[in-house]
Amino acid sequence: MAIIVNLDVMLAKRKMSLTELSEKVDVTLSNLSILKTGKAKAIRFSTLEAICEALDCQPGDILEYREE
Amino acid sequence: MKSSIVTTSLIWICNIALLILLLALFLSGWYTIRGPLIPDIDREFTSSTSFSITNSVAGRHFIYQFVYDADADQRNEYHYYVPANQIFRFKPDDAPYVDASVMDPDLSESEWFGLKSLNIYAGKEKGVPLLGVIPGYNLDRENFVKAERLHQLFMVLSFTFLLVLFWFLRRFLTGLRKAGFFTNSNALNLRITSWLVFSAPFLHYLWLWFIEPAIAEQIRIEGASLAQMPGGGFRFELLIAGLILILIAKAFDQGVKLQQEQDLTI
Repeated sequence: MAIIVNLDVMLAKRKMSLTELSEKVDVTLSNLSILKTGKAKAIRFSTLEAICEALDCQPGDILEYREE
Repeated sequence: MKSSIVTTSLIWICNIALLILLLALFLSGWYTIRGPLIPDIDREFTSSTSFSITNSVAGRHFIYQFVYDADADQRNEYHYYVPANQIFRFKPDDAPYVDASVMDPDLSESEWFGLKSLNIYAGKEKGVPLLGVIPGYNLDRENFVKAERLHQLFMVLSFTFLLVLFWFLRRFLTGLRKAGFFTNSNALNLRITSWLVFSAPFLHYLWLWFIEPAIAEQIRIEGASLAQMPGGGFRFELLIAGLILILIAKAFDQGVKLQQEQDLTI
């Protein structure tokens, strides 16, 4: 997949666990795991907004495009 | 809630159908192994001098007649094959006339479940035209037994086919109730069901093509036209039902893809 999800990197930078994030953004732990492992097919703007707000970052910090 | 009741009812209909089909499969299998219902030829005649047994399989009748000739003290067997899909139609002007009796409904008895029936004919009516005639083919004993065995085998195969069909239909319905709507297993069960229905008319036609010429040759009756060709024809209604089901299964596959994308959208 050309789009890489760097959620684990941002979580490590903010010293936040996935469970903590899931409580803050109101997304289930299993869905966040799907996102973190790169299995997700799409992400809603509302989810992205909530994650950015919780991690105090930009969408570009979480998502990255790499040429295959 | 409402759809759940409908699904549960459909599952129960499938259950009942499966039970009936299992029973039918057992009975048809039994008759196939046992052979046609030819009674013991040493049977003693007391009040009647003849009797006949009609065994009907898929619209084809096998008639076995046993006649006792008291004068010659001889017992004769007759075997007929009557394909009900061959009807010769006469124009009213050309139709042969036969004598007929009128049944008295007050005196005649009939009982459905006990299979008892007693017909009492009160009056005679002369000159009833035969506008439609189904011919009977006289077969020798060996061919009669062979033909009826083949037809019984057809019943076994048909019931097995229907059993598989209803089994997959039931699996699809239980899948709808338990695992959600657009799932891979539901799509697979629907796909199998649709292809089974689609293949049914071809299998039916193949079977008729395989079995018919061995039994009955084409005959012609003066002044009559054959209303339906032997073989019963191709079952277009099943083909159309199968095609519609295949289309629904294709749409269902798309539904599964959309559902998977929806599930993986965070």
